[in-house]
Amino acid sequence: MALRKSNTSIIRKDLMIRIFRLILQEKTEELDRIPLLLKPRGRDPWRCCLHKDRAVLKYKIMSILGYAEEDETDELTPLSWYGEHARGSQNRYLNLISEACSNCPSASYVVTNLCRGCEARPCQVNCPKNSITFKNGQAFIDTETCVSCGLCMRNCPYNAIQFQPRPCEEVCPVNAISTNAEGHEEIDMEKCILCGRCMQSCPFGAIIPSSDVPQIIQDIKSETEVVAIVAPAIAGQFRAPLEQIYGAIKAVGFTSLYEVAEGAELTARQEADELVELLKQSENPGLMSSCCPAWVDYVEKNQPSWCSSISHTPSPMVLSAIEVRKIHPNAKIAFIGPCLAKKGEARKDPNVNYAMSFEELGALIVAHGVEVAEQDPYSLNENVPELGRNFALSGGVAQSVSTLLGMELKVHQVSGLNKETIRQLKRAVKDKKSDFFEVMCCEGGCVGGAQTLTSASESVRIINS
Amino acid sequence: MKKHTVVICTGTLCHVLGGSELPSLGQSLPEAWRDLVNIKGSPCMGYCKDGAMQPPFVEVNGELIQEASVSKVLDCLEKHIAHGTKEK
Ligand code: FES
Repeated sequence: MALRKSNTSIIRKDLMIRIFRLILQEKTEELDRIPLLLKPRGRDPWRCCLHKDRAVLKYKIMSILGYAEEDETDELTPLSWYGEHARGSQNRYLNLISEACSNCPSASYVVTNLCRGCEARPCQVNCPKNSITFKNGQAFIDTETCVSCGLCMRNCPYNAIQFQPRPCEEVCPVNAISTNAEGHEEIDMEKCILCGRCMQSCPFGAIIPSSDVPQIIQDIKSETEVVAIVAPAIAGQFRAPLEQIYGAIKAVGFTSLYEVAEGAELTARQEADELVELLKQSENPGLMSSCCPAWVDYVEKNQPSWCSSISHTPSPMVLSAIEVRKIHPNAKIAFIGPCLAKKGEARKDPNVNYAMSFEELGALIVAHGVEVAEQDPYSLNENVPELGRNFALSGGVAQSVSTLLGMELKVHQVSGLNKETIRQLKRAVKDKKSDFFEVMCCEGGCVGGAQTLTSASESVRIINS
Repeated sequence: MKKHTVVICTGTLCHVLGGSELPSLGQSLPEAWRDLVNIKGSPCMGYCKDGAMQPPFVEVNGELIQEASVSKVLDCLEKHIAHGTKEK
């Protein structure tokens, strides 16, 4: 489970606000003060002591500036240096800070001291592997033979047996995260699809992405043209109408804005055309959506045999960037969206220079002291790209495509890629009964992205109000 | 009858640093309290300018709640309703 409201995401955003503010004010020498400001003498530590907390904060700041722990060659290099040499997410999308990782014990069932060593011993009699013995009147699970079926937990009348997960591994849909020889967690980037679940679920905030914002700030300062291309999920991210949110994006210095919803309309049209061709075939294997980069990455890395079914249509971000490039040949193009995986996709796309999240946008707006609700509205489109705006929600892509085709489609929809939905997907692919597979890695679609400011349900509520 | 007043900061900083769900407080309000409570949103209330205070901010009849959450606000409201403290 991703932690919903928790300190880790608040600390991450707070750090970004402080960093961006200092870079804006050209006071990077004060970056070294942030850990002391957040954890001053006398404050209760989160970890063993304040010094550890401060060290972790330092690595988190480094990470936001584009440097991982292992990039540190000299421990005395001050944060101000990293601030002056901020290098964005080009080298590092996601960093796992081993200093912050609590080395959680591997997932297992544990007997707590609520165990009363009863006569019934339902844990023992229901265990299919004879893994439970009793020592000093308490149940004891032999981890060598235990197969983690959970029957002991379910049968204990005192709730004395608990499942202790390792949160990051538990949520990773592709088993990309595991313990290395030193006992720390490590992300295998060959497997990772940048869904961001580990980041959301780690109770120690040990996983933290790098940010392109420091470089964007420098570009804007040096009067380079920076065009923001903004994902449709932006609606509902702030408690203000869309036009005012765009006003705020202008106010923080972006030269101009483009709605990725426009690119999404193009995507929908091209996908519809592809589907028309496929539907003519006697046995239609089904077309798989291509707009979610984490999903496309998943197929490439884990189900290569499905690659041929993925739509050849470029994602809305890619098509938007092509359009913007025509008008602004020399501009830097910055994608703004809810998603971590877009950082990876942006790097592969020659037109997109930066990818930033809604979290980063929120932090940048606050760092500027801009109030979203006080901005002059800035409207972009006379013809609202309704079909494209649908792309932010699960079901929306399929709906747009079927509207364009003017027919009902047999859709297999995945709203949130996890071990269970992957199983269902495999079955559906075998059955060959679906015309279209709409797969979004995040629950609810892009509005449920890993780096949003409001939850999926809250942003829908804001849009409707 | 004077109602109990809840003022929720809807400033951008409070929104970004944990307050995004607070304005939907009304949905979590027990049925019996609906007529007793008046919920208002306010632009930046200024508290965020004080580095020592912890956002997001909510006021219940003028009493300030820091690091506000829906459950903290409901708890504070309950106290106010029980004591019959009304807005002056
Ligand atoms: S934004 Fe809430 S007090 Fe300033």
